[in-house]
Amino acid sequence: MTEFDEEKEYEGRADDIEGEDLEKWTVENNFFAGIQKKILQRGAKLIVGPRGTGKTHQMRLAYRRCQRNKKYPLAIYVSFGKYYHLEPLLTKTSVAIQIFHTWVLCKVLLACFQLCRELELPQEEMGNGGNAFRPDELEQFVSLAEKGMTAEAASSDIFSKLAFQYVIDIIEDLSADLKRTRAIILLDDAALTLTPDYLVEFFDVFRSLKTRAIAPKASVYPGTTEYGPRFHVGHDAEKVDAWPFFQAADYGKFMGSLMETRLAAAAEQVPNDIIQLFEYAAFGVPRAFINLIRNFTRTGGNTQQRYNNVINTQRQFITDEYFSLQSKLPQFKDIIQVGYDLFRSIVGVIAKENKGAKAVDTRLKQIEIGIQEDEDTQDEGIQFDRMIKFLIEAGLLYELQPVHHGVGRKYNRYVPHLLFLFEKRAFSPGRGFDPQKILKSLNRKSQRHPLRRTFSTLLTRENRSRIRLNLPKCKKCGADRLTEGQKFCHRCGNELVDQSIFEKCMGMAITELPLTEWQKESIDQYTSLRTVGDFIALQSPAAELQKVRMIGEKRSESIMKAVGGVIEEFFS
Amino acid sequence: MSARIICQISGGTRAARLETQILFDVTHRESTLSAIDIFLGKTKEINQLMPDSRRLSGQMPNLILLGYVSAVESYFRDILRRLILMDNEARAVCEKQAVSYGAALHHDAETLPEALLENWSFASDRKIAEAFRNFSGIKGKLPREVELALRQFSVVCQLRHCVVHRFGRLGSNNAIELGLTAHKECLDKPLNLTFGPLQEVLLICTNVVRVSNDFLFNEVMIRAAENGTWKWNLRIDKKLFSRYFAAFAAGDERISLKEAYEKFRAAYGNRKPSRKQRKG
Repeated sequence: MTEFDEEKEYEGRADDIEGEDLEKWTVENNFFAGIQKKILQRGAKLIVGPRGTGKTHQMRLAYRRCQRNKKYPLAIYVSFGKYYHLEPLLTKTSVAIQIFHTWVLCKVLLACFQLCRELELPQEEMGNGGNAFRPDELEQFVSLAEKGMTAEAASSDIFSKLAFQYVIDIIEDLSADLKRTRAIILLDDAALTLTPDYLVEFFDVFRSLKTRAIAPKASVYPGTTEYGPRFHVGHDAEKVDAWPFFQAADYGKFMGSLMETRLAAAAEQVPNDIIQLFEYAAFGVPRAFINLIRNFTRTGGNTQQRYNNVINTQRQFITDEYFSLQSKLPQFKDIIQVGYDLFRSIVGVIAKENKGAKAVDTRLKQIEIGIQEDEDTQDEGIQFDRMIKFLIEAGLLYELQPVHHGVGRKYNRYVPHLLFLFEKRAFSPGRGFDPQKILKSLNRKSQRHPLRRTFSTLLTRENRSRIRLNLPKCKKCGADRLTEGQKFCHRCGNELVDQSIFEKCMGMAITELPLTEWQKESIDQYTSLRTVGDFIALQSPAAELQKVRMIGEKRSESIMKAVGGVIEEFFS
Repeated sequence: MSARIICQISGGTRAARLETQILFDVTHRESTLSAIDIFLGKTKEINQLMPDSRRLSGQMPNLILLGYVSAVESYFRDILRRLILMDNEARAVCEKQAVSYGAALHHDAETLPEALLENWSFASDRKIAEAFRNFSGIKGKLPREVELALRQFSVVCQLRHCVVHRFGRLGSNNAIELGLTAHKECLDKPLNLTFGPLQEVLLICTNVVRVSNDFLFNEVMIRAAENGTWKWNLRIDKKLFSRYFAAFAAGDERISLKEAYEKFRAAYGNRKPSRKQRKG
């Protein structure tokens, strides 16, 4: 790269990187190449990693490579990021899951049309005879489903006609036409965290699409293990870890090459030892690494101040992202809170251990916690597993294989996010700021065994009793729900109604949006816009906004961006 | 032949007496509620039999399943009986069908259609779809939404079959209906319905009633609109329209008679009369 194009270079999301840059900025190393290989080879795969580890990047890169090289399989790329638009259907119609099923198939077929367009071989329809599909009818179904128009979606032709066998036939025909021996379907953003009901259906479709000549590949978050009773990880799809562990042999090289290919110009502005510290602080997440470097170059002050600032900002960002789960999944509010307390407690004991006499005597570092399952974990209704999964999904804990220390003593091992250990000065002996010393501590060998604890020693009794679901009461009689899946009130017998999360977001008032007071007041006074949903429903919300004096093109644009940001953040 | 019992190994027996004619509530009068509201009332009572998810054990879940399926079946009987009584087209398709002599003698006009449905089972999607055709005269392929709801209910009916006939064990015919490959290992194993899946069963039953109720109401109303039954003036149409509305509308839904009428008028009120209507 000759010129330093700051904005482009720091782009963290692969969705926003243009095709050519994507290839140019791809880091070549064994870890990355290994994942590429898994994506391109035969067999169904699950690409597992938290946000920012490069799953989309990997998929889009494989997609481009396959387009260019006829030796590779035919690749179809579909993103399911918009699945949450279908979430309200679950509380609205008995055919929600079937509509979702058809929506998934439609998206796959539309991706086939997209591929043909990109190859400059546009097609008017795909399939044969009575089972041929046109892109406009597929798009119409997708739009009806996403807008929650259940009656129209359920009575459409596509809904009664489209079955996965047609999709398989179409893809196989397409690969034959394009002289490819087989195909891969890249199913991006398939974690579907907010709608477990859809997740189960999704992996049924995933399994159905798997044939001798078609290999589906889906990107998911770690921590998810519930893919439904018919899907068996390992048997139906192989797990591919896209989250490099910072203790892995290649880790330094991986991050180093990221610096060279993506951030070469920034390298001059950031001291070498700080770069190395950031490599650790990113905890295996390239997007986090890019953010750390970017923020460092943009922050003023001396090295120590800049370092502290950047680390704190990043820590806050991760924490906020974790806590945003509370509004997305209100039934887990307490579990998420106690999960964070547990995490802080883990960070606390590990930091203490690294400063204690043992670490000084043995010159070994300690980064692992081993949590023994004790009696409390067996208690009904106490959801330790769910709590830990949230921490893993958010990338706060890195899960290692469990170890056994004798009969009945099984320890589940985790490594907490290093950034939080840095904050606790776990690797900073003495006072002051010395990057070299931190690096030296970090580069020490690890202790042989994890720091062993139980939930009872890590959490207070009161906190342990709070690891339960927060379920909404029955609206008719006020009785507490018994379980998450309860559909009818056990006390008054009435049907229990769930509020859709999507609708909750759409119902957010203008006053809750990140706008200025003046903007909020004028929008309220001069326009018909009252909630986030109003912005989405209107054909041209910008025109509506411009009814207000002093709001023109520019301001309406920035307001729309703020609203879009809220929605994006809510469901990301 | 006298019983040749040499050795009694079954334990002693005691005298029992049952007078069935006093067991039924003869003072009962037909409710003014809609068919769906009667169904919801019954299921509401059943729902209260599960006070604690953890203590829901033994045969209780199986019995709850039976209660629900029975409530669904009686909904279908109820709504079809009412349709036959008030809808000309439905009555016309039933006129040729036979009822037993005893039923014809003793039923009054209001309950006679019940006799028509007496030998009908509502325990599978096929039989329910057939009942729609035979007793309401609604023709054509069922919409996918109805088809799917009926199919899910069919699955529940298979479980019911296991509970009724084999004390919960999975029979081979049921396994074939449910998909033999997936259920191979479950053959002859007892049903173990826990709280969560039982709730899904109950929801499937409620769904099939709500979906069928919507389907039947709309089909019948549209048919009446196409036949020129409605004059699109509520003062004229109210008498008949309110009979249909009272038979179908769920009380917990907030739609009023007027709103429902307006929806049909908006969809069909401005259409030119068909040739058939003009001739009529």
